[in-house]
Amino acid sequence: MKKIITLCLILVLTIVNLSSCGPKTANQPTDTNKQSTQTENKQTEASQPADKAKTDADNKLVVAIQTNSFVTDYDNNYFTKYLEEKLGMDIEFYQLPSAQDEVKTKLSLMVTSNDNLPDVLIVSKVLTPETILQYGNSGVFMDLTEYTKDKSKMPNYNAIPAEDKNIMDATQTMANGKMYSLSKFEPETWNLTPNRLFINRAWLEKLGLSIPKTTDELKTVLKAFHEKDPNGNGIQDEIGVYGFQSGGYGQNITATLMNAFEFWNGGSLNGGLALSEDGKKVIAPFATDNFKAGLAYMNDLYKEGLLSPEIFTADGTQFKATLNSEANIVGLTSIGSLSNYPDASKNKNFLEMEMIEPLTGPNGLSYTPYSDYSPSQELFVFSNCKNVDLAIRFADEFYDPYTSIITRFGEEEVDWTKDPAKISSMTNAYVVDGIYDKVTMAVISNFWPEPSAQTWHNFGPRYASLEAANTVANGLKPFDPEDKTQLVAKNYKYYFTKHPQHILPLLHYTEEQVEKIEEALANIPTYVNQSMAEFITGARSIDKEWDKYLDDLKGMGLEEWVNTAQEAFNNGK
Amino acid sequence: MHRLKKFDFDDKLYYVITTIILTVFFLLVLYPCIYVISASFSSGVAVQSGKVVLFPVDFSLEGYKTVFNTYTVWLGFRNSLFYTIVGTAINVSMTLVAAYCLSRRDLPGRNFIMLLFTFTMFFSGGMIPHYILIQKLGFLNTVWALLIPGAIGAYNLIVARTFIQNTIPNELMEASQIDGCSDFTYFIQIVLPLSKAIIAVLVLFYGVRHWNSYFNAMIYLHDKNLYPLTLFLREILMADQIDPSTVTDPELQAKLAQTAGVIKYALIVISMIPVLLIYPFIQKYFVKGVMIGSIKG
Repeated sequence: MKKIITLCLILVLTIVNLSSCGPKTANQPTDTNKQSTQTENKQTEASQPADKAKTDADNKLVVAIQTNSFVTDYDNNYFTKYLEEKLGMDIEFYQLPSAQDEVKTKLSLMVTSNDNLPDVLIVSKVLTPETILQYGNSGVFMDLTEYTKDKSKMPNYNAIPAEDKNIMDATQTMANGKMYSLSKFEPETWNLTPNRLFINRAWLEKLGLSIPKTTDELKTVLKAFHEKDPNGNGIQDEIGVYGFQSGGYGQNITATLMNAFEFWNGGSLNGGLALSEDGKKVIAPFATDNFKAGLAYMNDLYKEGLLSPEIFTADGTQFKATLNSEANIVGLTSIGSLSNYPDASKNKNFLEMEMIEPLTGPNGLSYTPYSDYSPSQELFVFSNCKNVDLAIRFADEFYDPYTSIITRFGEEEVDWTKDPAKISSMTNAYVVDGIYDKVTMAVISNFWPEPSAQTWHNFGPRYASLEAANTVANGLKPFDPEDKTQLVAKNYKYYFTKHPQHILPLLHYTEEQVEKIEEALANIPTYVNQSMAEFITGARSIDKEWDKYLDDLKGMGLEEWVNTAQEAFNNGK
Repeated sequence: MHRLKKFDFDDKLYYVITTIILTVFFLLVLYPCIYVISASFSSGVAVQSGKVVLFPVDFSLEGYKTVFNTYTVWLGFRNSLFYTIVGTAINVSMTLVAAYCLSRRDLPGRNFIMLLFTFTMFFSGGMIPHYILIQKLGFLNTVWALLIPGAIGAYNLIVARTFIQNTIPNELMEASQIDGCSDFTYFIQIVLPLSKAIIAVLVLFYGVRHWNSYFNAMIYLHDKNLYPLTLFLREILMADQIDPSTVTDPELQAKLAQTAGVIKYALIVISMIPVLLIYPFIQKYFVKGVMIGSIKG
């Protein structure tokens, strides 16, 4: 009896499951097929290639894509439909997980089993140049160099202004001189200088102090913050300097302050290496005397109780909780995203803060952690792709100016508009500041942070010039110059130029080079951060142990790393 | 008299200490649950600024609204139910059949077969051979990839076999055979009804495993329409843990993380509900079943 009930249940559920997937005709029938005729499947394997050829003739591409949890549907998707219609093709998805590690695992499984690989792969920042080179050398990815040079095959790619296209070409070219990828290049200025300093302006006003410009002035201000109870709750709970070292988007305040002494990108690119003043030599900024002076300065702040030890232990949750505590207790912090203060435009703690310029150190240096915008390699073609011409046409379509807008902003007149009548009255921070003449388009829906089926959430190649990125207006909320969260233009003025003239680009190593420096690359940045924590908190004495620190770095292979980086740099020039 | 009193005191001390330890563990387990539920009913701003400690702050249903409006959550929920029900049915029937056979003392080569099963508890081929096997079977991207592999868990098999062997006396079989009962009828009409406790235990073990599993689905499926709820949940949970330095536009990522932070707790609560609902009904068999299986084994 029980068994019969169970059986009925299975039957019903199976039917429900299959029938409710109705509209997805692309995948479902083949599945049911597979299930019912498994034994048959094996026998007819020989005939499969023929089937495949037929579908290829039907203009079908299997696109493996790193999914995004905010895309609710890929098949019934505005952008998918748009592409299919415009190119007269069929897109079948091979959906990869969204987390990067998982994509890597799955991809290596697919490649290892090497059967029925998809045609095209779209992932975002998952593959390192080293992995790409390895897959390219072993024949998993197709060499696209010839196509990118051919104006008739890739007209849109070749229409990109030469200056920007050269940067993209350089990123796509691996250490063996071949290109296996097409990249996304959407330069902008906000993300390049994430270490924005915010000081508690309410406290400054209360204590009658002015905004500090140098590291010495900062110390005076912090002392006043610490001693004079500016939040007025009678408890000495004010934290002078707050941040968190392991933060990935501007929260590492030790890097922010260090840049008043020595330019150091905080390890975000090339493990923290930089270029000498003349732009010819690769140097390690974390092994210089200026760096030592920076550590001594922070150690001094720490000794006076002006720099919180929590910087070295906090995580994202604790960091946010401290920034948003009932009574504001933070005097100075460094953040990349205002989302550290939820609902910033109404957040009372945030409204007390004010963004200030990078501080000037005793040597007159005033830098901020900065890395050149580097394109990310997003689209690859698998070597077993039968319909290469279609794949190339598909890839090139992403660089079409109109398509480029859709991949990022969604549907015209639904999510964005270029209608002159509508945008003529709009403006944004850059335009108000006179950096650009007028806005060129406006976003009119809030589709980005909401689950939707409008785009692939900007996965895939794309090109948008700096001007295009900075002349977008927000059509949902008119620009209000009084709004304290509108900081893009101010950021541009305060931070964008605060870096040395020559910046080390993302280096591409060959496989042999990687082998040589792998260990140094893995160990040194961690060791530097750990030593910074120890030096600043006084667990190690800067005067006595600095030489030992340099020796340790040497022992970990710093010299070889810098020399190899120099080779890679010269090679890439 | 004196002795008894001392005994009393020891007993009391024992109870006090046990109660304290158990209470501490109970609270340790309970707190995350309460936190998740409270957070799911709080406003996103309060959760993200760390204001929720025990009770909901700024009561809001924002998270649930977003979750219920998202098509993928229902899809995942339905798929998970399917995998759990069908998968468990397959598991339980296969395990019971195998366990019954192995419990019969007259099965030739019984110990050797058992050894083969036990072997799989300690050694496995590893991920890549597994993947290739699934691929060769044609299971890739089908529901079977989640239902068939691991249909019999060796541990559960041992528990079930020991249970049948020890609670159902051999005499019962002899008696039924005298009455003309075939092996099959004996299994269906006598063994199964007597094994309710162990069936309940197996259902719970396998069911919870199916409901919570995500790894196989992640590895073997590449069509979101087949994804279980756990994978959608995982994606949302990961969305606010992505290292900003690894994405092209951290500012946009931060905006996504904010939405994810609002809906993740609601999603966790929703995914907990089915197991919470089923557990009380099975729980009475639970302790009994496992104990019988293990002690006499």
